[in-house]
Amino acid sequence: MIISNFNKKLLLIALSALILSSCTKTSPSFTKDSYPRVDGSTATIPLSENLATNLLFMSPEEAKNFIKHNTTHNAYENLIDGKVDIIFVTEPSAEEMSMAEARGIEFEVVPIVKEAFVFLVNKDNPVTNISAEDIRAIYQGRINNWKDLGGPDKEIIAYQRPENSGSQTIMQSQVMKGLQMADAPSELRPMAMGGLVDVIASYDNSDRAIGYSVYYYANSMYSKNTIKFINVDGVEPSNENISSGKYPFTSAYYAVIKKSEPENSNARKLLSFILSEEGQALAEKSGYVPIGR
Amino acid sequence: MLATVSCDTAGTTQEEIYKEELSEAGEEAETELLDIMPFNGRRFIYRNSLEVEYKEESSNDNNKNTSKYYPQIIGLINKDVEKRVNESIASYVDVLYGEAEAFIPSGDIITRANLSVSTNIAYSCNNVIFIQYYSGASYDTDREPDSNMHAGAERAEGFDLNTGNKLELKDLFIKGTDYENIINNHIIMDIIKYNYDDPDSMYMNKPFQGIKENQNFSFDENYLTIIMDESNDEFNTYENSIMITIPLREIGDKLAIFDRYFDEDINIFENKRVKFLMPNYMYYKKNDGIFDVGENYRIYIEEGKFLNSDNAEAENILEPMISHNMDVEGFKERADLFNKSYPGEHYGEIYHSADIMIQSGGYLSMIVYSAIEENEIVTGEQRYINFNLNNNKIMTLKDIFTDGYDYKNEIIKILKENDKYNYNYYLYNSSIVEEGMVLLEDKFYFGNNYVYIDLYQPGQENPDFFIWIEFEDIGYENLAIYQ
Repeated sequence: MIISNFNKKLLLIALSALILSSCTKTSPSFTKDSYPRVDGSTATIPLSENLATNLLFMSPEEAKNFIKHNTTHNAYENLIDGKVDIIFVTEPSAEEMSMAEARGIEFEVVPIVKEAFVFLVNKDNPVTNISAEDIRAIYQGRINNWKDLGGPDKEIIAYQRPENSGSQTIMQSQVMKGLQMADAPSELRPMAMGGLVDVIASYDNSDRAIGYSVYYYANSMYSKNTIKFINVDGVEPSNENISSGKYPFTSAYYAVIKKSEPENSNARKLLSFILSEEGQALAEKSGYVPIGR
Repeated sequence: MLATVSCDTAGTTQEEIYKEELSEAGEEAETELLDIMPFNGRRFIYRNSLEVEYKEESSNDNNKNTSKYYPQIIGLINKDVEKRVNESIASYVDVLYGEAEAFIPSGDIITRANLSVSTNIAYSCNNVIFIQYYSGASYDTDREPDSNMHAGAERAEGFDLNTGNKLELKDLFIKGTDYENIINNHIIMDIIKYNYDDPDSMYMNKPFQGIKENQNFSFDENYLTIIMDESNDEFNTYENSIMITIPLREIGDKLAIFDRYFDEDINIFENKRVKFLMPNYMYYKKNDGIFDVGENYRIYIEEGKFLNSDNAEAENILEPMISHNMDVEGFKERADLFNKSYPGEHYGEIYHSADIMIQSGGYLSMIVYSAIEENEIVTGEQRYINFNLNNNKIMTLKDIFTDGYDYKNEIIKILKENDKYNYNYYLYNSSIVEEGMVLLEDKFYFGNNYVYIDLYQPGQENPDFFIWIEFEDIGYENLAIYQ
């Protein structure tokens, strides 16, 4: 086959580009021993396991045994104590910052995937959009009828999550931002040994209910046949709107390392990979919303 | 009002036919003809007339304790099926024991190991039996003598006793039911209810993706239980499986299990079958109350309501009987006044509870207790509520028994002839005085298997004497509630 000089040049350029791109591919090289010690929130376990599967060429089963997350607060403690090198968590609380400061440690907190806080109603609730201000008013108890939001004349039952749970902490810090929440609806549940115990009532998807959850779980799990997400300030909670930050209640999961972590350390290499195009594609494949498209 | 149709009425009310296209090649469509009783009308099912012999195998050897405990059924007419079911149970126990044993590491020096498989018959009615298995392993090593590493798992198996075949989830439902959707939706609501979807959940590793093809499950007359095991990797089941229960009332008329394997005209057992009262569709649930602890008083009042009710007449009769009628505000005012004169001293308590003994078969038996203590003076009352939801009538003791059964004399005879009731001992030490003794018609309560009666002895210092009698000793044929 005769290839013209021009086409030869084109072919050369293309081949060079291919070689160059494979040389600059961002996958770091790890072994099980050199892989940074990892910890984190429960919600970041799938990301963590998929990173291990990909970078250590492990099977999902092996990765499941290799990766152990001890929940957010324990992960921060382990990072401060030097038991782990990098953690995948929600942002540090005031208490965690104080703990670090007391030990002379500074955190480097880097967002790695986006997360959002979503509000749920029964799919047959005619209300589709609520402003952020009205959501706060609902949970302060200042708005308590759906008709005030363009819905039917029915009491709003604004369900909450247990005190000190991850979801409740996010609700208080990111949505309510210091505003006092009304008392949560409660219910009496029978105890195993008889009698009744007062507990926070859980979202029941009735026609009067509103509840909340984190997008990562809610989007993957909740049945769209029965539950729908409320738009906030006219913005639908979707991957695109969360990634761009357009959806109001957007947050992130973060990689946290010590600021003193050496420049070429394995923890920093792992962090760089996560932030790379390949890493973000892996995160998206794991069900997360990539950082800022 | 509950439907009054019973299992043994000819021409049952509902017929379900399902046709399924098998292939485009035009094979004959599969059909299933089932007479399905409406769920809210099913008063009873039939207990399988089986004896159960439990096999126990245990050993204690070189710091290793092992045990297996499992049932073997006796009493099917078809002995081949009986053998098949028993072999399957024993074999599965061995499989689970092997899994437990695999948990113990082979390289380390084990200083202590415990391995066990135990079982429970969760359900045995209408020619179906469900066995629950619990396997567990724990160990210490010489390097970590107090580590107590442990793991456990729950499993269950259901069997069709007509054939010995194991049951799958789809076998519980009318053909064509989207049972996966029903189950998955309930599981998601439970995940929210128990906050399993918290970002720091101890129970979930990732979002729930739906039940698996060979999902582990159990069954009884109240619930379908989905058992999340290691195949449900969204859940953290390392130490224990996670059970999610779905009340059968939620599934209702989509259930086929009570009718698919059962023919009332064909008894597959060597012995006669006995009825088993099904939980009522309309039921009372405690879900509210007044709970208050003041400086010098305490209030504990349970409240509840009837759910799934289309029987307003029954509710109107029962609610005043179950509810408290105590003046809570007046009590608090008096307590407050007392506190002004005697600060820090205890004034009193108000207590009200309603305990359910049975709500099955269209019957309700409850004990309601109310008491108020003020200035060390206690006044209280205990009410016995026995109600027949099938005809909306308050029951007396005689309504438990069939017409013509001389229950007053027969009960005393049973008590005297059966040592387990210690009746003769009570007579001997004068706890019971027979002269003038009467069985009170309005002071009793009953459960699925027994009745508690008051042997009332007028003129005695303690005239009430409650004693229980098992229905088995009375004979189910003499019990109106089992007809």
